[in-house]
Amino acid sequence: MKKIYFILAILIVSNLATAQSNDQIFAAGNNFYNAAKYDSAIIEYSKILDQNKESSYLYYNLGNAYFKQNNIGKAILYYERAYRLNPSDDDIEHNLAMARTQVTDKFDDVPQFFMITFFEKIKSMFSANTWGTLALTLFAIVLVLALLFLFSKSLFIRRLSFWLACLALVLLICCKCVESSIRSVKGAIVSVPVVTAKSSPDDNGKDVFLLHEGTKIRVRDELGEWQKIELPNGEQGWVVKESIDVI
Amino acid sequence: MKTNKLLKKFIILVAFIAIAGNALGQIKIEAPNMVSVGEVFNFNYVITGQGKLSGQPSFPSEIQNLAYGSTFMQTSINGKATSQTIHQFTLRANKEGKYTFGAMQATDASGNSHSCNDVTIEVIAGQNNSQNSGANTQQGQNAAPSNNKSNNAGGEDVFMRMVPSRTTLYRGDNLTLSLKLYRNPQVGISGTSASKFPSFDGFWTKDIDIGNNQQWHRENINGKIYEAILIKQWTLSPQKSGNLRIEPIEITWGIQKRTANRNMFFPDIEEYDKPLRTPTITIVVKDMPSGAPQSYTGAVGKYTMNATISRNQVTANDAVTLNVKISGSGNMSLISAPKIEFPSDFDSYDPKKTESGGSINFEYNFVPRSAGTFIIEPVKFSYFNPTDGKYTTLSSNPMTIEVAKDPNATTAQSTYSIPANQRDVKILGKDIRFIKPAPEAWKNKNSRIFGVKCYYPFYLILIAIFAALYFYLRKKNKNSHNIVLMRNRKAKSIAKKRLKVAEKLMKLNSANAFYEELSKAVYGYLGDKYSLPLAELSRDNVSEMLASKNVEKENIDKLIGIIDECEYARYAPGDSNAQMHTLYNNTIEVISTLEQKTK
Repeated sequence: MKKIYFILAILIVSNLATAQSNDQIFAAGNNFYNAAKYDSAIIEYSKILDQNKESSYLYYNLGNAYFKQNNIGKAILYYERAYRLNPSDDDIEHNLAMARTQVTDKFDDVPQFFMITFFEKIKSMFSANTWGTLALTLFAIVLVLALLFLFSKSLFIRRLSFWLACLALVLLICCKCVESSIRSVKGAIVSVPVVTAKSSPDDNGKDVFLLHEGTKIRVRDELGEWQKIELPNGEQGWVVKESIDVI
Repeated sequence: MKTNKLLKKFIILVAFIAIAGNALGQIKIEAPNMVSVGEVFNFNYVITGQGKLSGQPSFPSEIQNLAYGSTFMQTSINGKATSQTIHQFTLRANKEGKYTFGAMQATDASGNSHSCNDVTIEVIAGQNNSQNSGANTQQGQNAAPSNNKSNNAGGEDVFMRMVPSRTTLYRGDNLTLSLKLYRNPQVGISGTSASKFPSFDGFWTKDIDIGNNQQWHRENINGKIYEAILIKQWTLSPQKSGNLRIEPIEITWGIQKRTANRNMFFPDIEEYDKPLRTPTITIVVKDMPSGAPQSYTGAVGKYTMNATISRNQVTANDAVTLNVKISGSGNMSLISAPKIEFPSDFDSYDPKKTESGGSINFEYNFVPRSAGTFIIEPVKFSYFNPTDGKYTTLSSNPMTIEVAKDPNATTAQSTYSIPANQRDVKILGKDIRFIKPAPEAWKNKNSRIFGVKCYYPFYLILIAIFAALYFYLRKKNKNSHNIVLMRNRKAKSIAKKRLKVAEKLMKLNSANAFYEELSKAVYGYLGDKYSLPLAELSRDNVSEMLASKNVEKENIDKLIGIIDECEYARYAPGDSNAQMHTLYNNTIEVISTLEQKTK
């Protein structure tokens, strides 16, 4: 038992230690940013990513640094990543909208059925992770209610726990649906100034459309070096992997 | 030579008229700037107004003075009489070289003297006889290649050229393009008919006013003397980089040419129209190097800047003028106003641009709206200097303005009226929001919860906890002696047991024992069920007690009915088995409803 505590303690301490140094790297990146040395700031921020750590603020600051360098493609990519982790942050949303105004390609907003926009709004309240965690929490609640139902002496509590458990179960299913609906969309950002989408995954394919840096698209399929993408208006085409960055 | 005398006289006359407006007493030399060896030419002193040559001119020894004559002319223009004396020396150069000579003084009647400076005459070896022009044709062809051979055998007598001041320059810089007409001195020009000028694609153009009194001067073109005259001049400023072509200019000239056969007195002159075309020229335009400063707006050349503000101390709502004067040389007309960052509380207006020879003035008007000390950021103006190929940024000093409160402004006074100065917050510009200064908690990349990429282990853990709790609670429940619950269960089983005895008695048809047993069973059941003390239970108080235990009235009535019936039947026997049966069933029914209710 003592051994386990010891291992746990080491794990926690080492975790804290890396967090500490990551905070320092983050602060160093911020200092470079303040001094308008955006390339150095990007290098610092990327060090944290190289350690397999992420946070929405890190992506946000990276996006800002790229934006200041006029690298709109990368800026949008990192803002989108920040948004993925933290869709309710006002600053992230604002800067993402700002960066999107710099993109060449424009897609007309098709007016959508109000239920769909409502659903989209609900979806963007939390990140996929939060929805998943919520579902897990609801599952725990369902189990607690089930125990109450099974073992309570009071008829009232048993009835109440039954209906509450039903409600929690419905909510759980909803959360899982929302989560999987968010996760099912594999977005990507065009990272090269211009890319031509082909009708088939090879160089001889017919050119179907032209995309510019920063445009957000959906990845639908993959074949070797090629990825099948879909535009917001439903057009589909194939581009080489290097020309897009998956969010 | 003599053929163009007429024209020469005409030009002299024009020159003379132009000068006539000036004060009298001027002396100048008229002579070709270039002659060939052996050529006989005129060297004239032209004295306007009254005046005499003081002394004899001296000529270099290589130049022979062949003859001298003088002419006096008097002209009256609009009642104003002017006179002119021409002293004409006929000279011949005997040796090539450059000779500078001829400085002279003229004294007029009142004793004032005027002088003229030396002129330089270049003597070259070239032959200058019209008969020899065949040899020169070859040379002249370089200059004007396509000059028609079809027209005349002695073709190269007249041609046009476009002469750019330079052929390589930066975009935005400017060059002067001159259109010149060349002729063999022996050929006369009588005028022009058709002309066609190109559109100068890729250039910004401006005509240069060259005046009316352009004069023929001589130029050495490939060893042959030509007389040249400037016809037109433009300032060109290329607006794009690359090799820009200037398309040919076409003008048809009337030519007067002496033919070979002459009679005794008059030379035989042939007249014809000759369309001339300049060769196409190419201007190499270099693009400006990258790295233009932010304040660069397209100025090319060399400039100085001066920014002045009309007043430093004003009251609010007074107009103030800021003048930015840019002087120098370059593409002045294409300069756009430098952008001035006025404090955002100022109302500023678009600058007014006035251009006057060699300088350009931008007048910025602005009105400070509130009191305070404001600093206008230095005015910055950048230009590209083509001589060193670099951008230069000029910057003025920052200007301070002290703005006093406007005494006339309707500010908040004793009455709290609506403040007149209230305005919406001005949005000055949009930018991305600043970075997040503090870090968040770090997460593993792509992790979903607690640094793990998958939820399912947590679901399994929860299910395991649930199962453990379930079994634990169930076991605990079994062990616990819940009195009420046990009684509840016992009640039913005892009632059934009691009723089982009654059932047996009923089957045996012993009515008395059956009723007694039934009544006992009901009391026993109620006592156990509602935890009532058996001793206190009686027909009189049972309904109250049951009512206090929230038993429905209907059931109470049924129970009372059963108890009463048992009592009556015991003391009034002789009834059939059927009655016992009904009562037994009724009792079972009541007890089971009561059991169901409490479940």
